[in-house]
Amino acid sequence: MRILIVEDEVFIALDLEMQLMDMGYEVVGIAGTKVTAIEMACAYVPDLALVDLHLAGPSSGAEAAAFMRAELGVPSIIVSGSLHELTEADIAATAPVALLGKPFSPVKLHAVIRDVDAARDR
Amino acid sequence: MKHLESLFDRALDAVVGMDEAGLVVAWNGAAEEMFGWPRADAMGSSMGDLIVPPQHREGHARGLEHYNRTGEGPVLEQRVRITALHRDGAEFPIELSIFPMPGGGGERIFYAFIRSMAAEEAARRAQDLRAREGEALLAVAQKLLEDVSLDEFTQFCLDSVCAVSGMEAGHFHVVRGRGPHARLHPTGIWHLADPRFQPVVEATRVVRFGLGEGLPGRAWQSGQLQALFDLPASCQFVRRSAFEEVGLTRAVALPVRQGGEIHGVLEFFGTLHARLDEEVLRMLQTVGSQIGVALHRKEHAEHRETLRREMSHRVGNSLSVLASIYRSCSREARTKDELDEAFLGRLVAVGQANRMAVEDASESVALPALIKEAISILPERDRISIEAPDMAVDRDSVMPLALVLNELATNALKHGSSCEDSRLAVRARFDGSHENLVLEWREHRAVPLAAPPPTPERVGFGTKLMQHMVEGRLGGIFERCLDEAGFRVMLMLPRERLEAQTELAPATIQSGAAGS
Repeated sequence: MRILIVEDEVFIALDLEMQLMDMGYEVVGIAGTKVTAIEMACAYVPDLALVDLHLAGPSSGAEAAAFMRAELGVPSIIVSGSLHELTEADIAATAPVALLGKPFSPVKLHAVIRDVDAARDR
Repeated sequence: MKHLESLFDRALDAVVGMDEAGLVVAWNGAAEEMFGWPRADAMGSSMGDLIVPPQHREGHARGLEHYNRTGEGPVLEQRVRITALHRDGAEFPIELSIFPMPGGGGERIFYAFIRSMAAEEAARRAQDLRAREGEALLAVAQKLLEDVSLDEFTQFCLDSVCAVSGMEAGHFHVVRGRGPHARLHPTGIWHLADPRFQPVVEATRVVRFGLGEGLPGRAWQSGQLQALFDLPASCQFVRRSAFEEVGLTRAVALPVRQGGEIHGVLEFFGTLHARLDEEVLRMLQTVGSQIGVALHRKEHAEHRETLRREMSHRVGNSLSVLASIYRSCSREARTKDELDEAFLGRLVAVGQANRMAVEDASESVALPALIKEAISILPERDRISIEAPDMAVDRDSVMPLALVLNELATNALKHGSSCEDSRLAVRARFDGSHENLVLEWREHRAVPLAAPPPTPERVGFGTKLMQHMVEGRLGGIFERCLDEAGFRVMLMLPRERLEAQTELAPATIQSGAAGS
């Protein structure tokens, strides 16, 4: 499975990349803004995107996820330190395959990604 | 006739008489007072011209003509409610009854007993205004309890005040900035009774009022309600042409205060028909000040909520960052000591960068100071040559840039290349186009190696971290090169993103497009 990481916190992004690689997945890229996320998604068309809700500046992770789902059919796992801020409209537009509240343990990430991967094969 | 006249003069109502030609033949003392015309002036004048308002004059003349011709008068000897004209031009409500009587020479005289209803009307109106004022305040108080945004709430308040006062447009300005830089900024939230008023929104959008400038600025300075009854004639009202064009010619500005401080100004506009008498102004003052308090509260609550969310987000995020840093370091470390050093070193670096970005400077940090602080872990700092333009670094770029420099410094320390046999130079300058800052980090060996060092098999975490910080967070290019002569890193950073934008002086009303 090929995964795109959308996360503006570099430490977290690199750690996620390592964790996903250790799990045997390919990370197609790390995007820190909505614009880069969309560019990378168009270029690589990943199987899954791991999207942080809060991005630097005026960028919105939810918008990036909504675009990827609508235009490219790329499903997202939404990650956020403040999941309560996720509105119903966001959920409808992004239709996340899973939600992950920050901070989350590697075990939790493992479980969520494996579930998504398993559901994909079905 | 004499005894009649003396009888009329004792009457409490105004008594006036008119002949078949419509000329005044009787005018008592009460009539003098009610209409402002002395008997001497009134006698012989046309009754219609004297006390009948222009819109009723034709009816008055037709009625008289009809009676003279047919002897029929449907309004005679009945209680009639109508308006009359005072000598000063003011129209006021009256109640009258007219009865014809034979005069001395066989012709008819029409007498009228007239009672002014102005006092009753004023009382009724005052009562009505008070009731509406109460309703508006109640509605605002209820709205305050509802879970609506500040913008929605402001809109509701503007709508309510306009509905109650009969004003056609309303807007809210807020005070932004401090001290001499404080200005009134339009919020863009308007009540408009008619879409044709839209141009005034545009005219207001571009103006910023200083203390004492324009109508809102004067309300702000004085802390009192300010009213303008004739905008087109007021040279202090810079937006007058736009307002005049759509027929809004009256204005009221009301300061919004809380705890002695003024936070904004409510502005209301009306057409020529807007009544801006004492009663309406008093009501605007009451409703406006209550709304001011409510608006301020709502603003406060919203601000607190934003802060709370921001805090909870930050705390969650920084714990995640810590966990990530730990995992990254533990993946690379071969011994516990190495892990301690790497983890604690990065922890300190993040803390330091965070402090620079958030605490030390509310807006920006000077580049040379940032470089010095970020590499402060290096010993013998006086041997390091630092050269950088005195540029203010944008808040969002402080953290990534400081972390990159700290990572480089940690690296230099670890590999000992900053020590005796090599020299470190950090040089930042603008490129030819002046659009990029080129930052060069050079660790130069005094004695070059005999052969180029081996290329590392894999890219280390530190290098990856720097690469992502530079490319992802700063939008720049990261290049590194390790050879016989030493170690060199070149960062090419777009100035647009890196440099703090000095806040542009707000467009004052002099430069505003609405000025005429």
